[in-house]
Amino acid sequence: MKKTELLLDVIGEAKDEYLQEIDARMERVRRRRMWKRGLLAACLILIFGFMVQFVAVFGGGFGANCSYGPQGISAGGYFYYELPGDGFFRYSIEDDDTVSADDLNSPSFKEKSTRLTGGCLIDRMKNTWYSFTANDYGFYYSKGSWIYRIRHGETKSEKLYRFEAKVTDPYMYPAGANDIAVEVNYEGQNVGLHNELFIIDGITGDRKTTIIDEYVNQEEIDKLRFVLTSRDPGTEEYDKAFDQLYSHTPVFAEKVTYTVGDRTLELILKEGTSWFDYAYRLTENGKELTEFDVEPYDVRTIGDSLSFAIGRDGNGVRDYDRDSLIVRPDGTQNRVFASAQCGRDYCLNYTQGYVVTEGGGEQTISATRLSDGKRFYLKWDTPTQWFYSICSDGKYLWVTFGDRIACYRIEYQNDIPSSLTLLNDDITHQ
Amino acid sequence: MEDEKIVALYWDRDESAIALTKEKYDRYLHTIALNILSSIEDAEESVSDTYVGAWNSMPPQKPAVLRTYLGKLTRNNSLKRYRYLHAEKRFNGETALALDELTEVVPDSETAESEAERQELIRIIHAFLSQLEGDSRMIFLMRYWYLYSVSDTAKKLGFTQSKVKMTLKRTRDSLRDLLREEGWL
Repeated sequence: MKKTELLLDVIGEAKDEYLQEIDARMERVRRRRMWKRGLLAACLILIFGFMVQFVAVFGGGFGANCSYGPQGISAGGYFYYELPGDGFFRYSIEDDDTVSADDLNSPSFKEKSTRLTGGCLIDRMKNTWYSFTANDYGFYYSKGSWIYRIRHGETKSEKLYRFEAKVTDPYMYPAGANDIAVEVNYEGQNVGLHNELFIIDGITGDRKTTIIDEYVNQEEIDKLRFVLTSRDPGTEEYDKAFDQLYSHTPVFAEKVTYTVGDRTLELILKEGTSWFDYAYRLTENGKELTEFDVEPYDVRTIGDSLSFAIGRDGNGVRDYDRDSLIVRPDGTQNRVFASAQCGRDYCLNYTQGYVVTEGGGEQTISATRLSDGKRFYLKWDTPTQWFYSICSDGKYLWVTFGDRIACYRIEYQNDIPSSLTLLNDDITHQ
Repeated sequence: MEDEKIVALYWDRDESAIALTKEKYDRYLHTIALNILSSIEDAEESVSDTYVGAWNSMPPQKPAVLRTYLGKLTRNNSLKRYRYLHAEKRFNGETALALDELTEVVPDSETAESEAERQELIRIIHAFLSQLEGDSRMIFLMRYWYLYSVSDTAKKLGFTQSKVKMTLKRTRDSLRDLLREEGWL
């Protein structure tokens, strides 16, 4: 058997948990789309006045039947989370030094969650948001053709940015200073494929830089498909059409500027001839900050720093490396394996160190010190179930299970994260 | 019906287990087979083989997750059928594309025959997958476990196609490096 075939075979041995993780994600995306269809159905039903049927469609309450899990993000001392099909909420832990674990678990404390969207019937009908993120300035979510913002501590949504065309599945993340990176697929007549990655100013809503723009019209795709079906494999014409169909080349920005603290960084495009065949150099005041090339994707704020994904293989220039370059506001930078879940000094990972035990398995949380990349494993104070994602600001850890979010306090010993204390097993209780 | 009860029916040699399995998972299994084989007739055959395989393997097998157990049977059957149908000739489908892409990881010219090599590769793949970030792992498995196209992967996971392509590229490179480090290449 050829090694490529064996590799494809062996990938089939992936653990069940990973396939279930995919199922959960697909279900979540599917339900978001279903919700849009549900909204349309609901509108029609409303028009005809069949309120009884309306309740039946939504199972007795808006989003009551949504089985996919909640998600969240922390910023500005708050934890923002979404209850799918219900709304966005903000949770705050006030003065953790003076509040005991018992207090935090008390019913009154659980009421600290504030509803941000979907508070009334009409709002909840309209909750067709797709993506959310947060930075030091506020909380951002996309809904329909707009990106909205809610400032920290406030509950009023403000329209911030309007998409240029109909979009599907926008994805947002903080990208230094108050900027927000937006990845988006566009829909439209004769659009075979159109996606973009761009940056908007999180305060003014101005669109600043288009980093990647990939567009192929449907006509062109149809032509290429026709060649593939009408010519024999192995002919020059067939191979050319095959390559064109599956290897579109996006337009990459020549230069992208990022800010971290008082530092201004620039990504400068190197030569590239194909969709994977590009490279960016990271510079500051005209000087290269690292010998490695970096990715234009996922340049994001972690803690008070900016993270750049190191390494790509364009033109065989550099070997692949999955580390990140952490550029800090104090003028330093270093290369570590870092996730998006970071405080000022540490970032937390959870996929590393899945430990199989007699009872099934336990996922471990590790903290990577940003200054030197050293990793420390944290002990749970209580057994946990399988979870899907984590969020942390360095002080607290929010863990997303299938249907709830638990909040843990990160305990430090000699300034090193050592254990996790459960404060609230489900902050989504209302 | 709950999966545990269906598995119990297999163990009781009750043929209704197959009908119940079909009722619950037929569509899921057809999707996997169709992604690999790109032919409705061949996918049908492959899924039928899965039901036979499930009947023959339970007992002694008692899968913890029936859905993925059946999915793996279907995937294996479909890949075997794919190899049989398309030996020595190029084929325009997702499996051919995926195999093309994997030549970036391992040379297409090399062969591996021994069980020891297979077991070593399984160990490396497990380590590799456990170290991947959640999004990268999902994208990688959508492409090379489920054999979904890049555009379907992007659509089903809610990412842009550019992100999916780039993540796949990076993940393949990472796997190639790991295989080299481990001396498998």
